[in-house]
Amino acid sequence: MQNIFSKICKRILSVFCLLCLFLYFPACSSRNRTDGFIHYRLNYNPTTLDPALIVDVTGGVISAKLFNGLVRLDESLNVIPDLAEKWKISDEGTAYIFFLRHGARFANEREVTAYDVKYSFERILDPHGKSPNSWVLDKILGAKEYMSGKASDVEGIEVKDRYTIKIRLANAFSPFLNLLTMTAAYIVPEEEVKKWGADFATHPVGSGPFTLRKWEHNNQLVLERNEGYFNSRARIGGIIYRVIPEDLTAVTEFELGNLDVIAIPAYEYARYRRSPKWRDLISSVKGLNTYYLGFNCSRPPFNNINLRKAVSYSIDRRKILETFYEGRGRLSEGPVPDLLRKWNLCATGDYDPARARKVVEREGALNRVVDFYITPDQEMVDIAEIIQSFLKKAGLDVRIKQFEWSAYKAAINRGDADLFWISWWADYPDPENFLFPLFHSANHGASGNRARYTNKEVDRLIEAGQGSISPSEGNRYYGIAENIIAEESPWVFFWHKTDFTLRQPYVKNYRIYPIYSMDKGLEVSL
Amino acid sequence: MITFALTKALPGDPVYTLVGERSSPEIIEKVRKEIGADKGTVRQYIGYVSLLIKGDMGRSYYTNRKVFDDIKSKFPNTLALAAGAMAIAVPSGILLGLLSALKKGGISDRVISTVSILFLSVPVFWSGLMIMLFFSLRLKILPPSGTGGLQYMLLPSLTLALPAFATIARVTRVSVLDVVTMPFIRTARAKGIKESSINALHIMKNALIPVVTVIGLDFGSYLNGAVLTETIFGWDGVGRFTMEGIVKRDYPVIMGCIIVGTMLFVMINLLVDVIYHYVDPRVRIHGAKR
Amino acid sequence: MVPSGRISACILLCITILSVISPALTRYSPDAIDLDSLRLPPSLQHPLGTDNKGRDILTRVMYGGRISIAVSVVAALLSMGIGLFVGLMSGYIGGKVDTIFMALVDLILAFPSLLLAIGVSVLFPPGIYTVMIALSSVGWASFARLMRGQVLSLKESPFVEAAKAVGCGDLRIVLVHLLPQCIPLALVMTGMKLGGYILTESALSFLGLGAQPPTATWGSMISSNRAYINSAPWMVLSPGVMIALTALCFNLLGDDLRDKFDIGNNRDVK
Repeated sequence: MQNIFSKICKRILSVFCLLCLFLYFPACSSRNRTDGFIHYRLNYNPTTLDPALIVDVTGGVISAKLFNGLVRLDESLNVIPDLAEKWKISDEGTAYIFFLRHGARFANEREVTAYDVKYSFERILDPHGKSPNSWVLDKILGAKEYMSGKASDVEGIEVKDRYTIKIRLANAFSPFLNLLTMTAAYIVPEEEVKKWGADFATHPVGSGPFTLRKWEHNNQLVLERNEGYFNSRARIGGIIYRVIPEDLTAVTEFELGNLDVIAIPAYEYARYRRSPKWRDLISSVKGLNTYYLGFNCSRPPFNNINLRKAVSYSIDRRKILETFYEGRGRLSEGPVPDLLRKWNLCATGDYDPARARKVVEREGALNRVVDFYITPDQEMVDIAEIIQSFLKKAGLDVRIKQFEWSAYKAAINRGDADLFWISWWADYPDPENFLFPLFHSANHGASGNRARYTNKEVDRLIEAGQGSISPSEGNRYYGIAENIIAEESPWVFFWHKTDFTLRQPYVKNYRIYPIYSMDKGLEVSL
Repeated sequence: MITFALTKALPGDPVYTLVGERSSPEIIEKVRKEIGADKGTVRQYIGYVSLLIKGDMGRSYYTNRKVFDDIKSKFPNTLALAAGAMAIAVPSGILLGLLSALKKGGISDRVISTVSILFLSVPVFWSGLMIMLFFSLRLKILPPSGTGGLQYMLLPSLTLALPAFATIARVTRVSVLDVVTMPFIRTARAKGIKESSINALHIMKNALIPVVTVIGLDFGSYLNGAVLTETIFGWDGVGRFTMEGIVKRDYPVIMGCIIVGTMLFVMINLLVDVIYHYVDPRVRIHGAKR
Repeated sequence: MVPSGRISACILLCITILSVISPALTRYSPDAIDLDSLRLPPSLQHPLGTDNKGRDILTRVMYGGRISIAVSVVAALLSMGIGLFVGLMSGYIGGKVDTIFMALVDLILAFPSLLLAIGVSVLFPPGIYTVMIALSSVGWASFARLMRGQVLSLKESPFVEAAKAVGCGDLRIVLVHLLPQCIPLALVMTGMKLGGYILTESALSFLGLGAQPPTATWGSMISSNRAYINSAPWMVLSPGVMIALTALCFNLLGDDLRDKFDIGNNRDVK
């Protein structure tokens, strides 16, 4: 009996082995790329490619290749022409006249005109529409009336002739041109929107340097070069965006040669920095963002400015940045990112644990329990524990509470937390975006001022800056405001994060933009 | 009902994630009505049960997609993993269990038994990580994570298969040893029938009966393991969906997944019971063994 | 199998003792964040390396062992206790009570165990007590069934009839006569299942439902460091090995006990 069994066993085993070999070869198909195309990675499948509906980075990145706005930003964050060749600002900053270039066409061959601009902008403000981005254009004269249904169109948007459009604002707003570079202000063709209806989100038609050839959901998007692009056409024949949610897979795919550029995940950074093969291919971009520890300034214990400063002294931010964060950022002394700051800022307080402890004791807060709210993101948990241990030495007992993201936001907006860790990323590259939403007393809670900070003088300065005509005038006001804010410490300012990307050696002319949606993919080639 | 009780401890307002913070109050109200957050708890429960009967499990708090739809689309993926795991575990388990029974006391027996117990002691999420580390990250022959074709499926299926293989091998071994010493075999030997005539298949048929049962019961381990394995390997199935629901405290999702997983488990067990009754002559004679 | 049983018992004893006396052994505190020693590979100073915040992994593994083992053992004993109680009552009283409880047992056994444990855990805030509650609420069912079976077979035995004849009250019969017969079986079953408890406990803390940071448990150590598997695999290696080793020892011990006491359940072979 044993012999028969052994024979059967051996036979089955050999079949099994053959099967394994047979599966092995197709299983390791390592080469997975299309020639002539550049391969990027997306963290998740975009929800929509309709500029009116896009609220996330992924949508912004792709739609930048498919559409154009009146203006755009270059790598130095200057406003440069896009669909508008030139413009004039008059009436103390309340009137903008744009002169569109001739011969710019949508992907359906029709020329872009001023009527398209009016249509696209009103579409964002349409009360029957669902655009969450109406705030981008609601400073236009007549926008509020249109949005509430009282007017049939927006008074402030006037088509002067086929290539000229005049936009009047309700009040002067110096960052207005920056708002027009945003995704929501992209120009869309009316007949395509009407033809596709809700499916316009998956069948976008624009005037951009690329068109969407194929979208395999949760797998990849294929973009092809628009040969008739009004500007100089792109150097690369097409772009493939692969949807890869897992960082480890993206890294492996990159090392196998199936991706051409990746953003370096935090935990691989050290390895790539050390590797002689890869380290010269790392590009960095100084992000327009600020990471901070926010206080609830509206109630004890942190309505006490001395206690806030004590917390500031007790944390060795530089050390955390250099060791834990591996130097992937620039130390921050104020809320405005270094790239946008055109004035001097006085440094507030260095690491001084002894002084911190003394202040805590003097203010009678020794062993006081404070609640620190975070979300379960691993990096945030780690930073929170590090902060917790620093504050313990200063005499404060920090309790960390983890909440899922939306619960966390709601709690902070309500003012439940004493301390919270969060970041603010620029919507547009103007210092106003880092001051008004975050520190103006009208914005307590969900609009951005989560520290519930109130200072009438700062309010006044911010408003003056918004109403200025020239950036340099605005900067004067912003500079004074930021110095006051830095002194009063409604936050402990940690850092401005730097993003790192890694590219293959054969990728040429790779440019990295501080705001990803500025990249139109025109320069890069293989 | 157990699972619904979970829902009402939910903190936080999910509406904000759906529309972003700067939306107008009108849109916020619209969405709030849609997800029913404005009705009272009891009415919500009644609503939920009636919907459940119709097959509607409500919508995720965060993505606002129907939980049922999401589970329906991810379910085949989990099944694929389970099938893959079974395809690996069952043949190798039976074969090696047989081998260890035949060579009882010998080296192969000891090796197989030790390996089996080892596989049963290793936590599935850790073995998944080790397998990923070895095959994917160091040897680079397979992708470390992702959903898709065979190459993505191999490693997670292997991970799930290990404890199942161990169980099947052990049960096969015990069962074969049992059958081989059974009266009717001894009788046949005593009668002088040649060894080789004792139909090998006949023995196998009897020995495999408890094994079939175990394979069915083990299905539960695939469901359990799936939650952990799918998360590690980024496999878009019901298991990972459950895990995401847990992390976000997205109760409709958690409830839906547990219900589906349980129903499946119950069905498979019923199926196994039925097969057992048909196949096991002893049971038919003596009535159901409980 | 006997030698392996003895070896396992020894190893387990060592692990337990080490865990218990760990404060005396280690120089480092398990929570001491040291920003200068992030993610160091194993060395003389840090035999198992350091983790993402500079904490010594060896220390954390030892402290984590206390929690993981303690939680599993307590949960197992709790399950045993509840299962004994329910099984004895149900088997002895019979009738409607029996039907209800056995229906409950069937209901619980109908769920895949981890899923049910997850379901129970999310009802409570995460922590070690939550894990204990979750583990025992899932685990008592199979104990109860076994005990009930035992009671049913003992109910008709002579000495019980004799006790009844003498006029012993029900409670006395249960406590004095039936219980002692059941306890050996219960203990053996606990021994067999402890391996599973360790694995489920680590799975729950991997999912974030157990002790919260900065407290170390083996499962949570793996989950918080798993992103670094490619660049710093030692952080995940040691806690996993410990879980496997402990579960292995419990399993070997359990097998050994089962063989000794010759418990053969036809359908529950594991």
